[in-house]
Amino acid sequence: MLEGKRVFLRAIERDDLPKVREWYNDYVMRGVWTGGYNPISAERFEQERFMDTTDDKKRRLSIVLKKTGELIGSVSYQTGDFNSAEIGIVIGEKKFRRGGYGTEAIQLLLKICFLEENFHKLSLWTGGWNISAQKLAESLGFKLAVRIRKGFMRDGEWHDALFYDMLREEYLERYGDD
Amino acid sequence: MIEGETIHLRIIEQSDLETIRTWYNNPNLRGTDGILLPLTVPQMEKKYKDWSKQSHEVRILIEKKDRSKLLGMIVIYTRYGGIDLLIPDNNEESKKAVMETIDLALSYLLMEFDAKNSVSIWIASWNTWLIDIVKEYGMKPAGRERRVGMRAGKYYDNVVFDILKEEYLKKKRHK
Repeated sequence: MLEGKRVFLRAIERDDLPKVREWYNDYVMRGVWTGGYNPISAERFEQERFMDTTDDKKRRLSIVLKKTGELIGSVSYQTGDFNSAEIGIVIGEKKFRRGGYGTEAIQLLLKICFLEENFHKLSLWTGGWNISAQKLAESLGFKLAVRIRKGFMRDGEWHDALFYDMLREEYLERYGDD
Repeated sequence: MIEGETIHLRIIEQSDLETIRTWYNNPNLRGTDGILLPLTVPQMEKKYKDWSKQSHEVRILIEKKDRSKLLGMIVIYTRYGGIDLLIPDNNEESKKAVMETIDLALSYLLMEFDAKNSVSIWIASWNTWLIDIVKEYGMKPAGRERRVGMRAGKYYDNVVFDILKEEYLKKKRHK
Protein backbone atom coordinates (compact mmCIF):
# COMPACT_ATOMS: atom_id res chain seq x y z
CA MET A 1 0.00 0.00 0.00
CA LEU A 2 1.33 3.45 -0.91
CA GLU A 3 -0.16 6.46 0.86
CA GLY A 4 -0.56 10.03 -0.27
CA LYS A 5 -2.24 12.92 1.55
CA ARG A 6 -5.82 12.03 0.67
CA VAL A 7 -5.65 8.73 -1.20
CA PHE A 8 -3.75 5.48 -1.11
CA LEU A 9 -3.08 2.83 -3.74
CA ARG A 10 -3.69 -0.83 -2.98
CA ALA A 11 -4.20 -4.11 -4.82
CA ILE A 12 -7.51 -4.59 -6.61
CA GLU A 13 -9.73 -6.88 -4.55
CA ARG A 14 -12.59 -9.01 -5.87
CA ASP A 15 -15.06 -6.78 -3.99
CA ASP A 16 -13.90 -3.80 -6.12
CA LEU A 17 -14.96 -5.45 -9.38
CA PRO A 18 -18.68 -4.52 -9.57
CA LYS A 19 -17.88 -0.85 -9.09
CA VAL A 20 -14.97 -0.81 -11.53
CA ARG A 21 -17.14 -2.61 -14.10
CA GLU A 22 -19.86 -0.01 -13.58
CA TRP A 23 -17.34 2.73 -14.50
CA TYR A 24 -16.05 0.68 -17.41
CA ASN A 25 -19.56 0.25 -18.79
CA ASP A 26 -20.52 3.91 -18.31
CA TYR A 27 -21.08 5.38 -21.80
CA VAL A 28 -19.61 8.73 -20.69
CA MET A 29 -16.33 6.96 -19.88
CA ARG A 30 -16.01 5.33 -23.31
CA GLY A 31 -12.62 5.68 -24.89
CA VAL A 32 -10.84 6.07 -21.55
CA TRP A 33 -10.08 2.36 -21.36
CA THR A 34 -10.27 0.93 -24.83
CA GLY A 35 -10.72 3.67 -27.40
CA GLY A 36 -14.38 2.79 -27.92
CA TYR A 37 -17.55 1.70 -26.17
CA ASN A 38 -17.24 -1.96 -25.24
CA PRO A 39 -19.59 -2.86 -22.37
CA ILE A 40 -18.43 -6.02 -20.69
CA SER A 41 -20.17 -8.83 -18.76
CA ALA A 42 -19.28 -9.54 -15.13
CA GLU A 43 -17.80 -12.92 -16.03
CA ARG A 44 -15.60 -11.55 -18.81
CA PHE A 45 -14.62 -8.57 -16.71
CA GLU A 46 -13.37 -10.87 -13.97
CA GLN A 47 -11.39 -12.93 -16.47
CA GLU A 48 -9.88 -10.02 -18.36
CA ARG A 49 -9.53 -7.28 -15.79
CA PHE A 50 -8.95 -9.16 -12.56
CA MET A 51 -7.23 -12.39 -13.47
CA ASP A 52 -4.77 -10.50 -15.70
CA THR A 53 -3.31 -9.10 -12.47
CA THR A 54 -1.31 -12.35 -12.42
CA ASP A 55 0.45 -11.11 -15.56
CA ASP A 56 3.90 -9.86 -14.56
CA LYS A 57 3.80 -7.14 -17.21
CA LYS A 58 0.53 -5.58 -16.02
CA ARG A 59 -0.24 -3.98 -12.69
CA ARG A 60 -3.57 -2.51 -11.69
CA LEU A 61 -4.07 -0.72 -8.39
CA SER A 62 -7.18 0.70 -6.77
CA ILE A 63 -7.31 4.35 -5.69
CA VAL A 64 -8.94 4.57 -2.29
CA LEU A 65 -9.92 7.62 -0.25
CA LYS A 66 -8.02 7.58 3.05
CA LYS A 67 -10.76 9.30 5.03
CA THR A 68 -13.64 6.95 4.17
CA GLY A 69 -12.05 3.91 2.53
CA GLU A 70 -14.14 4.59 -0.57
CA LEU A 71 -12.93 3.22 -3.90
CA ILE A 72 -12.76 6.16 -6.33
CA GLY A 73 -10.69 4.94 -9.27
CA SER A 74 -7.81 2.86 -10.52
CA VAL A 75 -4.34 3.26 -11.96
CA SER A 76 -2.36 0.83 -14.05
CA TYR A 77 0.98 0.33 -15.68
CA GLN A 78 2.15 -2.13 -18.26
CA THR A 79 5.80 -2.90 -18.83
CA GLY A 80 6.92 -2.33 -22.40
CA ASP A 81 10.18 -2.76 -24.27
CA PHE A 82 13.49 -1.45 -22.98
CA ASN A 83 12.57 -0.91 -19.33
CA SER A 84 9.69 1.44 -20.00
CA ALA A 85 6.00 1.32 -19.08
CA GLU A 86 2.71 2.77 -20.21
CA ILE A 87 0.43 4.11 -17.50
CA GLY A 88 -3.29 4.76 -17.24
CA ILE A 89 -5.73 6.26 -14.76
CA VAL A 90 -9.47 6.41 -14.26
CA ILE A 91 -11.27 8.41 -11.58
CA GLY A 92 -14.52 6.51 -11.81
CA GLU A 93 -16.53 8.31 -9.17
CA LYS A 94 -17.81 11.49 -10.81
CA LYS A 95 -17.87 13.60 -7.63
CA PHE A 96 -14.12 13.07 -7.21
CA ARG A 97 -13.14 14.23 -10.69
CA ARG A 98 -11.34 17.59 -10.98
CA GLY A 99 -10.59 17.51 -7.26
CA GLY A 100 -6.86 16.82 -7.58
CA TYR A 101 -7.26 13.13 -6.67
CA GLY A 102 -6.00 12.01 -10.07
CA THR A 103 -2.90 14.16 -9.71
CA GLU A 104 -2.18 12.66 -6.31
CA ALA A 105 -2.78 9.09 -7.51
CA ILE A 106 -0.49 9.51 -10.52
CA GLN A 107 2.22 11.08 -8.37
CA LEU A 108 2.10 7.93 -6.23
CA LEU A 109 2.21 5.79 -9.36
CA LEU A 110 5.21 7.73 -10.71
CA LYS A 111 6.98 7.10 -7.43
CA ILE A 112 6.38 3.34 -7.75
CA CYS A 113 7.41 3.28 -11.40
CA PHE A 114 10.55 5.40 -11.18
CA LEU A 115 11.81 4.80 -7.65
CA GLU A 116 10.80 1.16 -7.08
CA GLU A 117 10.45 -0.42 -10.51
CA ASN A 118 13.30 1.73 -11.83
CA PHE A 119 11.73 2.32 -15.27
CA HIS A 120 13.72 4.73 -17.38
CA LYS A 121 10.64 6.13 -19.14
CA LEU A 122 6.85 6.26 -18.74
CA SER A 123 4.27 7.06 -21.37
CA LEU A 124 0.52 7.52 -21.68
CA TRP A 125 -2.09 7.95 -24.40
CA THR A 126 -5.08 10.24 -24.41
CA GLY A 127 -7.56 11.60 -26.94
CA GLY A 128 -7.65 15.15 -28.32
CA TRP A 129 -11.12 15.64 -26.84
CA ASN A 130 -9.88 14.88 -23.31
CA ILE A 131 -8.61 18.31 -22.30
CA SER A 132 -8.53 17.49 -18.58
CA ALA A 133 -6.28 14.45 -19.20
CA GLN A 134 -3.93 16.58 -21.32
CA LYS A 135 -3.76 19.25 -18.60
CA LEU A 136 -3.16 16.58 -15.96
CA ALA A 137 -0.34 14.99 -17.97
CA GLU A 138 1.34 18.32 -18.64
CA SER A 139 0.97 19.53 -15.04
CA LEU A 140 2.69 16.35 -13.86
CA GLY A 141 5.64 16.91 -16.18
CA PHE A 142 4.78 14.65 -19.13
CA LYS A 143 5.78 15.98 -22.56
CA LEU A 144 3.72 15.64 -25.71
CA ALA A 145 5.83 13.38 -27.93
CA VAL A 146 3.51 12.26 -30.73
CA ARG A 147 0.24 13.51 -32.22
CA ILE A 148 -1.45 11.06 -34.58
CA ARG A 149 -3.96 13.05 -36.58
CA LYS A 150 -7.56 11.86 -36.45
CA GLY A 151 -6.69 8.74 -34.50
CA PHE A 152 -9.90 8.41 -32.47
CA MET A 153 -13.57 8.91 -33.20
CA ARG A 154 -15.90 10.28 -30.56
CA ASP A 155 -19.40 11.70 -30.97
CA GLY A 156 -19.10 11.39 -34.73
CA GLU A 157 -15.93 13.46 -34.97
CA TRP A 158 -12.32 12.49 -35.45
CA HIS A 159 -9.86 13.57 -32.77
CA ASP A 160 -6.08 13.35 -32.59
CA ALA A 161 -4.44 10.59 -30.55
CA LEU A 162 -1.87 12.10 -28.19
CA PHE A 163 1.13 10.26 -26.79
CA TYR A 164 3.01 11.74 -23.83
CA ASP A 165 6.24 10.56 -22.22
CA MET A 166 8.46 11.35 -19.24
CA LEU A 167 12.06 10.29 -18.72
CA ARG A 168 13.37 9.13 -15.37
CA GLU A 169 15.82 12.05 -15.19
CA GLU A 170 12.95 14.50 -15.79
CA TYR A 171 11.07 12.87 -12.91
CA LEU A 172 14.09 13.13 -10.60
CA GLU A 173 14.66 16.75 -11.52
CA ARG A 174 11.04 17.62 -10.75
CA TYR A 175 10.22 15.40 -7.77
CA GLY A 176 13.59 14.30 -6.37
CA ASP A 177 14.34 10.77 -5.20
CA ASP A 178 12.45 10.80 -1.91
CA MET B 1 -3.37 -13.01 -49.81
CA ILE B 2 -3.19 -9.35 -50.82
CA GLU B 3 -1.95 -8.91 -54.39
CA GLY B 4 0.20 -6.02 -55.55
CA GLU B 5 1.93 -5.40 -58.87
CA THR B 6 5.30 -7.01 -58.12
CA ILE B 7 4.74 -8.44 -54.65
CA HIS B 8 2.04 -10.09 -52.63
CA LEU B 9 1.38 -10.12 -48.91
CA ARG B 10 0.74 -13.58 -47.52
CA ILE B 11 0.33 -15.27 -44.16
CA ILE B 12 3.30 -16.76 -42.34
CA GLU B 13 3.68 -20.53 -42.57
CA GLN B 14 5.67 -22.74 -40.20
CA SER B 15 8.22 -23.25 -42.98
CA ASP B 16 8.96 -19.47 -43.04
CA LEU B 17 10.07 -19.30 -39.42
CA GLU B 18 13.75 -20.00 -40.04
CA THR B 19 13.96 -17.13 -42.55
CA ILE B 20 12.24 -14.75 -40.12
CA ARG B 21 14.58 -15.91 -37.35
CA THR B 22 17.61 -15.00 -39.47
CA TRP B 23 16.16 -11.50 -39.92
CA TYR B 24 15.64 -11.04 -36.17
CA ASN B 25 19.13 -12.39 -35.50
CA ASN B 26 20.76 -10.02 -37.96
CA PRO B 27 22.81 -7.61 -35.76
CA ASN B 28 21.97 -4.69 -38.07
CA LEU B 29 18.26 -5.13 -37.26
CA ARG B 30 18.70 -5.59 -33.51
CA GLY B 31 15.90 -3.94 -31.56
CA THR B 32 13.31 -4.38 -34.33
CA ASP B 33 10.03 -5.65 -32.90
CA GLY B 34 11.54 -5.28 -29.41
CA ILE B 35 13.93 -8.18 -29.95
CA LEU B 36 17.35 -7.44 -28.45
CA LEU B 37 18.98 -10.86 -28.23
CA PRO B 38 19.25 -13.61 -30.87
CA LEU B 39 16.28 -15.99 -30.90
CA THR B 40 16.58 -19.76 -30.59
CA VAL B 41 14.35 -22.06 -32.67
CA PRO B 42 11.97 -22.78 -29.74
CA GLN B 43 11.76 -19.04 -28.96
CA MET B 44 10.88 -18.34 -32.59
CA GLU B 45 8.22 -21.06 -32.54
CA LYS B 46 6.75 -19.66 -29.32
CA LYS B 47 6.59 -16.21 -30.93
CA TYR B 48 4.77 -17.71 -33.91
CA LYS B 49 2.19 -19.31 -31.60
CA ASP B 50 1.77 -16.05 -29.66
CA TRP B 51 1.25 -14.11 -32.91
CA SER B 52 -1.66 -16.35 -33.87
CA LYS B 53 -3.44 -15.41 -30.61
CA GLN B 54 -3.32 -11.67 -31.36
CA SER B 55 -6.67 -10.51 -32.67
CA HIS B 56 -5.72 -6.89 -33.41
CA GLU B 57 -2.21 -7.47 -34.75
CA VAL B 58 -1.59 -9.26 -38.03
CA ARG B 59 1.89 -10.23 -39.27
CA ILE B 60 2.20 -10.74 -43.00
CA LEU B 61 5.13 -11.65 -45.21
CA ILE B 62 6.16 -9.57 -48.19
CA GLU B 63 7.04 -11.93 -51.04
CA LYS B 64 7.98 -11.42 -54.69
CA LYS B 65 5.02 -12.33 -56.85
CA ASP B 66 6.91 -15.17 -58.51
CA ARG B 67 7.56 -16.55 -54.98
CA SER B 68 11.31 -16.48 -55.56
CA LYS B 69 12.19 -14.38 -52.51
CA LEU B 70 10.87 -13.17 -49.17
CA LEU B 71 11.54 -9.44 -48.88
CA GLY B 72 10.37 -8.74 -45.34
CA MET B 73 7.42 -8.62 -42.99
CA ILE B 74 4.72 -6.08 -42.20
CA VAL B 75 2.75 -5.88 -38.96
CA ILE B 76 -0.71 -4.38 -39.32
CA TYR B 77 -2.37 -3.10 -36.15
CA THR B 78 -6.05 -3.09 -36.95
CA ARG B 79 -7.19 -1.60 -33.65
CA TYR B 80 -5.30 1.68 -33.77
CA GLY B 81 -4.45 1.81 -37.46
CA GLY B 82 -0.70 1.32 -37.41
CA ILE B 83 1.95 -0.52 -39.38
CA ASP B 84 5.49 -1.74 -38.66
CA LEU B 85 8.02 -3.01 -41.19
CA LEU B 86 10.90 -5.46 -40.89
CA ILE B 87 13.01 -5.30 -44.05
CA PRO B 88 16.31 -7.22 -44.03
CA ASP B 89 17.95 -5.78 -47.17
CA ASN B 90 18.34 -2.05 -47.82
CA ASN B 91 18.47 -2.11 -51.61
CA GLU B 92 16.45 -0.82 -54.56
CA GLU B 93 14.38 -4.01 -54.85
CA SER B 94 13.40 -3.74 -51.17
CA LYS B 95 12.62 -0.04 -51.53
CA LYS B 96 10.12 -0.74 -54.33
CA ALA B 97 8.62 -3.55 -52.26
CA VAL B 98 8.24 -1.25 -49.24
CA MET B 99 6.49 1.43 -51.32
CA GLU B 100 4.08 -1.16 -52.68
CA THR B 101 3.57 -2.76 -49.27
CA ILE B 102 2.70 0.57 -47.63
CA ASP B 103 0.23 1.21 -50.44
CA LEU B 104 -1.42 -2.20 -49.95
CA ALA B 105 -1.51 -1.85 -46.16
CA LEU B 106 -3.10 1.61 -46.36
CA SER B 107 -5.64 0.36 -48.84
CA TYR B 108 -6.48 -2.50 -46.47
CA LEU B 109 -6.72 -0.33 -43.34
CA LEU B 110 -8.41 2.72 -44.87
CA MET B 111 -10.51 1.25 -47.69
CA GLU B 112 -11.46 -2.22 -46.47
CA PHE B 113 -11.73 -1.66 -42.73
CA ASP B 114 -13.15 1.84 -43.12
CA ALA B 115 -13.01 2.25 -39.34
CA LYS B 116 -9.83 4.28 -39.46
CA ASN B 117 -9.15 7.76 -40.72
CA SER B 118 -5.37 7.73 -40.38
CA VAL B 119 -2.51 5.25 -40.26
CA SER B 120 0.77 5.68 -38.38
CA ILE B 121 4.18 4.05 -38.50
CA TRP B 122 6.84 4.12 -35.74
CA ILE B 123 10.44 3.67 -36.99
CA ALA B 124 13.69 3.45 -35.00
CA SER B 125 15.68 6.64 -35.62
CA TRP B 126 18.76 4.63 -36.73
CA ASN B 127 16.74 3.21 -39.63
CA THR B 128 17.22 6.25 -41.87
CA TRP B 129 16.80 4.09 -44.98
CA LEU B 130 13.19 3.28 -44.05
CA ILE B 131 12.50 6.80 -42.75
CA ASP B 132 13.47 8.25 -46.14
CA ILE B 133 11.17 5.81 -47.97
CA VAL B 134 8.21 6.63 -45.73
CA LYS B 135 8.82 10.37 -46.29
CA GLU B 136 9.06 9.79 -50.02
CA TYR B 137 5.79 7.88 -49.91
CA GLY B 138 4.16 11.00 -48.47
CA MET B 139 3.58 10.20 -44.81
CA LYS B 140 3.87 13.25 -42.52
CA PRO B 141 5.97 13.63 -39.33
CA ALA B 142 3.82 13.10 -36.23
CA GLY B 143 6.43 13.25 -33.47
CA ARG B 144 9.18 11.37 -31.75
CA GLU B 145 9.01 8.83 -28.94
CA ARG B 146 12.18 9.29 -26.93
CA ARG B 147 14.67 6.61 -25.90
CA VAL B 148 13.04 3.41 -27.11
CA GLY B 149 16.32 1.51 -27.21
CA MET B 150 20.08 1.69 -27.10
CA ARG B 151 22.82 1.00 -29.67
CA ALA B 152 26.53 1.19 -28.96
CA GLY B 153 25.87 3.00 -25.69
CA LYS B 154 23.60 5.65 -27.19
CA TYR B 155 19.83 5.93 -26.90
CA TYR B 156 17.74 6.01 -30.04
CA ASP B 157 14.17 7.25 -30.56
CA ASN B 158 11.17 6.18 -32.58
CA VAL B 159 10.34 8.62 -35.34
CA VAL B 160 6.60 8.64 -36.02
CA PHE B 161 4.77 9.40 -39.27
CA ASP B 162 1.09 9.37 -40.15
CA ILE B 163 -1.15 9.75 -43.19
CA LEU B 164 -4.81 10.73 -43.32
CA LYS B 165 -7.35 8.88 -45.41
CA GLU B 166 -7.96 12.06 -47.46
CA GLU B 167 -4.21 12.37 -48.16
CA TYR B 168 -4.08 8.73 -49.24
CA LEU B 169 -7.08 9.18 -51.57
CA LYS B 170 -5.59 12.36 -53.05
CA LYS B 171 -2.35 10.45 -53.71
CA LYS B 172 -4.33 7.69 -55.41
CA ARG B 173 -6.19 10.14 -57.63
CA HIS B 174 -2.89 11.75 -58.72
CA LYS B 175 -1.55 8.32 -59.61
